[in-house]
Formats: sequence, C-alpha cells, structure tokens
Amino acid sequence: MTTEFIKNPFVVKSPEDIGAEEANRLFVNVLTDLQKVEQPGHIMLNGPRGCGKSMIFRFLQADCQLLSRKCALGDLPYFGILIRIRNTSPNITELRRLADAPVRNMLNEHFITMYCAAAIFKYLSELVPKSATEDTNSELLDYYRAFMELSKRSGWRVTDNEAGAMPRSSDVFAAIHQRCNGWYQDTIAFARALAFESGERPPLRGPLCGYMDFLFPLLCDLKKLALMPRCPIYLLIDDADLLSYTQTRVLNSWIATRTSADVSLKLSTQLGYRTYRTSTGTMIDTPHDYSDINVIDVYTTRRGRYVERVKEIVQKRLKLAGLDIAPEEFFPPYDPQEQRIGQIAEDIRTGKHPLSGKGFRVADDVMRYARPEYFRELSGAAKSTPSYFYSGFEQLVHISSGLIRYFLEPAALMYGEQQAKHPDSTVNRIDPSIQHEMVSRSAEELMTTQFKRVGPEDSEIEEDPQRMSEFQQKKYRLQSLIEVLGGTFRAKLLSDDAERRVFSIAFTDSPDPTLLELFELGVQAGYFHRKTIGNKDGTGRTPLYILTRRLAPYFKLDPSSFAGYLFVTSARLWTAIQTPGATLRSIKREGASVLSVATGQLQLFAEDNTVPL
Amino acid sequence: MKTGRHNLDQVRAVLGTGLDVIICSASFEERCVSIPLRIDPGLVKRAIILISGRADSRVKENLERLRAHFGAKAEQTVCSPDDPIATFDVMNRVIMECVDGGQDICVDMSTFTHEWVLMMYRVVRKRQGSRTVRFVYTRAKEYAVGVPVAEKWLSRGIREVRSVVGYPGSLMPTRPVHLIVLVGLEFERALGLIDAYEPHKISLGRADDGDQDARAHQEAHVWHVSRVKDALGEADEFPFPPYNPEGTADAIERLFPDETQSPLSTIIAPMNTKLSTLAAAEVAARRKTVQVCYAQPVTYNYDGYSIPGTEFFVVEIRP
Repeated sequence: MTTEFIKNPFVVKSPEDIGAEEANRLFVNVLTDLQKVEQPGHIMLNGPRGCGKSMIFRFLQADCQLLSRKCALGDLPYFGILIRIRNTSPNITELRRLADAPVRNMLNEHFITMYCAAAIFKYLSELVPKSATEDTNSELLDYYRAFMELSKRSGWRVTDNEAGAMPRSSDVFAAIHQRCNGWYQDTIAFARALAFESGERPPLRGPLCGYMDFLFPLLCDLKKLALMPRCPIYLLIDDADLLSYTQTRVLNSWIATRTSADVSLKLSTQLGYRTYRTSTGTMIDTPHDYSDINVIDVYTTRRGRYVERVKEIVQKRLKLAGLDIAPEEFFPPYDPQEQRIGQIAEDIRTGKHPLSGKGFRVADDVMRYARPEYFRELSGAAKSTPSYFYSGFEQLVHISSGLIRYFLEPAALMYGEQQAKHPDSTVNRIDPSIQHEMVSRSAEELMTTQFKRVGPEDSEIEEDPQRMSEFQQKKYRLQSLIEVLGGTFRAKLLSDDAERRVFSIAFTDSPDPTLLELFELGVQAGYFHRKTIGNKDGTGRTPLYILTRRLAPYFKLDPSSFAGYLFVTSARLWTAIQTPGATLRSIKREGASVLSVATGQLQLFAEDNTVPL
Repeated sequence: MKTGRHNLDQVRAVLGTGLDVIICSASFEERCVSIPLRIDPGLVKRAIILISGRADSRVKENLERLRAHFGAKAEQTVCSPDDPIATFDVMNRVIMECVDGGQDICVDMSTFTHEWVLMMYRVVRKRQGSRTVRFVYTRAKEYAVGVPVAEKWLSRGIREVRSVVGYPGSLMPTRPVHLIVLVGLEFERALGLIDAYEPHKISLGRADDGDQDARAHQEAHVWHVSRVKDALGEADEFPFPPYNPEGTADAIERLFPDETQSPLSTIIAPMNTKLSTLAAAEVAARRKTVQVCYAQPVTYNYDGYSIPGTEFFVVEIRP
C-alpha cells in the first residue's frame, strides 16, 4: 500500500487500508468537535463524501489511539472498532426479492450482526497480543463458552463435535471470527438461492442473530475480560448510508436501545441516510437517542482553518512521498496571470487605477477589485486571448469548497496527467495548464453527468411514476436555478459595483416552501451550502445559500470570493427559474440587478473576512 | 465454451439450421439488427426482443425494424434497467419455456448490457439441461464514432453499483477485496467502480497487444487503461484476448492466488466486449465465491456509440 501511495501522493486511499502508524502521521483533525465524538453516546457523523469522516474513524480505532496516546491497552478511554460498510457488504441484489417477505427484517438484522461480529473479532484477534491471551486462559475459554451459549439460543444446532472442540485461549477471538464468517457465508448461500424465484431454497443453516440477543451481550462480556480496558466499546460504522432501507431501519433499532454506556454506535453518513425509522416504525430522535455532528468546516480565506488544514494534509502527503516541496510550489499559479493581477493590484494601491480609493482602506480595494478587474479585462478581450486560469494552490483550495476530497481527487488526476506527459521525470510540480484542465473538467461533470445522477432521497419515489415525474420537474428547476445564479454571479463579477465577488444569495422576504425544497435538493446534492443570516429588517434570520465553488470554472467566477451576497425576492427568483433563458439574456444586458434587490455585506465576519458555509 | 467467427454474410448458413428461438435486444445501436435481420424469419418459431424501459427514438425505430422482419413471431418484453430481479425473472421464464418446449435457442448479445449477458448466462447454465445454447455477437467496426481517441466515450456517470443477480459471490466481510476490471473504453466508469469498492488490490485487464482482433480499438483502449492507472497511481495489469472467451477465462483464472497466499474476496467487473463478459461469467460460475458486479451508467453516447463490423462470433454454451 505504501508503494502505491508514493507513486501518486494524492490518491484517496481507504483509511481502513492504512496502517496505524501511517494513519497517525497523516491524520489532521478536520473536526471542530472531535471531543464530542470521543464521548460515550450514539453519534451520527454527517458530511459530504470527502470531508474526512473515514479518516476520523480510523484515528479513533484502538490501534491508532494506542500510538497517539502512547498508552497501554488497559489505559484506553474507549475501545474503537472500525466497521466499514461497503458495496461488498450485505446489500446484494438477490435480497431485493425479500422486499415484501416477513423474514426480511430478521435476515437483514442477522446479516448486519454477523458482518459486525466478524469485523470485531477479526480486529481483536489481530490487535490483542498473544501474550495477553495466554495469561487469561480460563477466562477466555469461559468467554468462548458464553459465545456458544448465545449462539445456541439464537438457533445454532451445535453438533457434539462442535460442542467439544474448544480453541486454545490464544485463538478464541480468531475462532469466533471464523464462526461468524462462516454463518455470514451460509446466509449468502441462502441469498444466492433467491436468484431463481421459485422453489429449491435450502434452509438457512446456523443461528439467526440480532443485536440485543447476541451482539450486545457478547460485547458486554468482552468488556469484562481482564485483558480489555474498562471503557465503553465504540462501533465505528463507516458509510452507514450504504445499507439498504431495511438494514438502515434495523440499525436504527440498535440506536434506539440506548446501550451507549457500554456500547456506543458511531455512524458516519454522507447526508444520504435512508431513514430514521426503526424496524417497528418508531422514529429515533436527536438528542434523546443520538447526537448529530456535521463535518462541515468554516471555509475561509488565507487566515482561516480550512486552508491551513489542507496545507497540512498536502504537506504530509508530499513528505511521505519523499517530496520536500511546499504545496504552493507544487501547485504553482499561472505566472503571466498572477503578474497581471499583481500589476492591477499595484495600480490600485498607488492610486493609478480608477477604482483606487473606492473603499475604506487600500487593502480592501486591492482585495476587492484586483482579480475581478482582471476578469473584466479577459471578458472584453478577443477570443484568441487565454481565459482565466484556475491554478495555484490557494485557488484549488477554494475550489474544493471546504471538502478535502475535492482537493485530493482532482490533485490525483493532475498528478497522473503530469506523469503521463513527462514519464521520464519525477513529478515535482503540476503545470498550471493541467491544474486548470482538471478542475474545469470536474466543474463540467458536476453540471452535466453528475447532475443527471441526482435522485430522490426516498427510493420509493422512484417506483411511483407520478412522484418520479414531479421529482424530475424539480430537478429541471434546480438546474435552471443553478444556471441563473451562476450567470448572475458572473454578471456581478464583471460589473462596476462596489462588491463584485459574490457567491451567495439571501431572501428579503420569506421564501415559499417549494422554493426552499428546491434549494434543499441542491444542498443534498452538493450544489449549495446553507447557512442563516440576520434578515434585512433585523427581526429574525433568513437562509443564506452559497453556490459550491467547485462550479467556479464552469461559470467563470472568482473562487476566492467571500464577502458579498445578493438579496433576492422569491418572486424574482421564481420568474428566473421558470424563464432561465430569458433571464440570463436580460442579465447579460442589464446586469445582476435583474435578479438581486441589493447586495449585502457580512459584517459579522468582516473582521477576518470569512463566510461560513 | 466453443467459439467460432464468421462473416455476417454467413448468418443464414451458420445459424440457419437448428434455430427455433432468437433472443435479441432492440437498442440504439445499429448492431442490434445486424444478425437478426439476416435470419430467415420463416425458420424461426419465436423472436423474443428485449427492450430497455428507457427506450429512446432510435430504440423504437430498431424495434419496429425487428418486428417488421419477424412479423407475428416477434414478442417484445420490457426489461427495466433499474429492476434486475424482474429482468432476471423474464430471462428465466423465457429460457424455461424454450427448453421445456424442446427449442433450440440463440441469444444475440451484441447490444445487451453486460448485466444482461451475465444474467442470461446464469439462467442458461441453470436451465439448459442437455441442450447447447448459442450466444452470438456482432463486433463493432468503430466505437464512439468519428472522434479522436482522447475524446471517445461510450457512457457517462454511474447510477448504481450492484452485484449481478446470480453472482453474489461469497465475500467474507473481513477479507480484503481484489477487484478485477476488464477495462473497455470507459475509464470514468471503471474509476467510479473502483471508488465504490475501494479494493485492497486492483487488477486491470488490458487487451493483449498481440491479439489481432483487438488491434482496431487498441489505441483507444490503451488510452483508457492508462487513464485509470494514472488516477490510481499503481495497479496490476494483465493481458487478455477480448474476442476469445476461452483465452479471457484463462487469463482471469491466472489471477487467483495459489493456496499458500492469503485469500482475498474477489469481484470481477467486466467492461470490455460481451465475449469477455461471457468469460467472466464462466469463471464466476466455476468459482462461486467470486462476485460479479455491474455499474449502471447514467447515460450512453446514443448518437455515436458504434458502427457494426462485418464479422460475428458464435459461442456455444454446452451442458
């Protein structure tokens, strides 16, 4: 695995495949409330794909914690075990045939239980040193007997041979792992027979196990062993939204049991968690049953935390790859462009530019106008003039929109492309042209191919033609909304207005629920971020929607824009959504005022010029 | 499996006798009619036309051409790309009817999805009894017609990644995953699949340089394989002959570790020719622990997917 890593330092590897030492070296805390995750209690760690959830879970695993805390096993404050839900796991297609069968819930719970149990005991068999197990001989054998007893109660028809075959104490965890794996395979075999709709189904061999009757008591007994720390066990279930609808309801039933003092369930989701209903139909609630933690960072300028975190992550990866190069040097900007922007900035600073003195401070003018003025120069130029180059470490960080994966994935493609173009030399920088090409392509895909993939959260909608048709209409409107806003922000960027760098909108009135639903779909699909700000009247708060900066190359926007937002009314926005083509033509002729009522300034954050996502 | 290749002029001569039922698909590709329209409708008892639920105008046109050719013997069946269970049941019912009726079956898989090929193979293997079933395939002269190599695309996006019905494998939850990808001309789809499974080990199948049949598409294919490798940083490659199912099956078999090495949970993702997909099916049928997966695309290059070649292959699936 390390060999592959060196080849392309930006490859997004599964944290599960990274050793504890490497994980510790690479780990950068992207979470404000890591402490909250480390407390006992069920948690849902929510965040878009690529924000670092899996890496957090990897870091919380016992082996990483032993290295990080430099302590003995018995001194750990919690015992974390990572359980990765992937496409390989229990959601095989044949199980869909059980959609209406009464056995569905039991079989799915058994699947997940065996999946978790196998992962837990494999981990224990690898982590706990043999020497520790030899000292607790009889205790471990008693534990194995307890496991057998629980299995028998769940329906395991143990043969005399099996009853008499006790493993050595040092092999108890491995033996339990093997048993659970075997029962998992038996269930797969049962599922395989479901392929053909009629007859020939062999009976399910082995027990039929659940959380409360099997896994939870097994884990409680595990905690009592002398070799285990006296602390809660955390089951770190990664990508829980990859479970099927039925399996998700089963997991919710586990959460509802409130066993967190002994066993806490920490789930990571990509904002696509299928349901909050349990198998019996009741709902799990926050904070009574679990806590929600959203892994969304404050996306900031140079002084901000996110940029520094990305820098730290990139530096660590480059160093691990044997490249002692600063991220800014590895991802250099396009020099002629930066020189020209620098010249404009200098003109503004020295009063030679028409825009000098417009703002309160010279530094404000430089930041506010230098790059937008460059955009204006390009927009008026002949077609043969190069367009704006999206390149340079900072620009790439901004385009990633607060999600580390959206920096690393394009970076991995850039590295591959650079290597392909220069196969005989070591890659120690990425050409600005390659940086630009990759982020532009990603932006194009986000608006085209990936947009087509946006689907309803509730899979039942897909089965109802009427509802699906309504959803498609909603999607079409969302696309219009994004196009109109992108065009408006572009017009704003090229205007004479005081604040041109705008990426967000807020409402002057109370937006109707249908409009909000549209924005929410955009948030779920990753095209917008949502926050609230004080409304214009000062009587309450209104939602602020920020377009993802990943679309900056698509709409030719300055991704480092932070300070401003547009105020819009629901009526104008609806008109724009319904007539996007006409609206965009009007915007081209008349500017952003077609849509916006006024421009707002986020005074609350003026101090460090930051905008929350 | 026994494979033969022939010129399309020979369809009647090669398939003419012993052809009771032709199962084909109505597709946006012209290849979907290359073989069926050359079959003498008088000799055929049934022509079963599978049609995807998301039919566009080209699909409907080709459906009408097939219906016109086979007349009253044509039967069409809708197979939703979003409901593989229902599609599997359709295939199972059709094959059972034909076998129970003592009919000889020929399956034109030229424009089947890879998932359909795999499911049909599974059903045939289960239901064929003592009968030999023939799978036929028209090769393409060109893919992603008229565009440079670096711009060729056949499909975009991934709607869903799923195991193929009939090939759930027996993946151990705690075993690392070995993903074998028979890369075609869809590096984005391959990368999406790899991203979904996050395997411990990746083996990328690359069309054998020495394979004459593969030469026509070799440049584009190598470009796509390179793109996958560049994005991954490192992956094992293995050669396979995409127009030779037996050779492909052997190439895949060689990837399985001997008993002294740590076992991996193996998944195969066939994304090259349908002939090589049959090979993957054959391997997975022998090794029941192997899962075969499918990445359902969001959209296809409807306007320029392919133009038909002049040859077709016949693969006999013997009991």
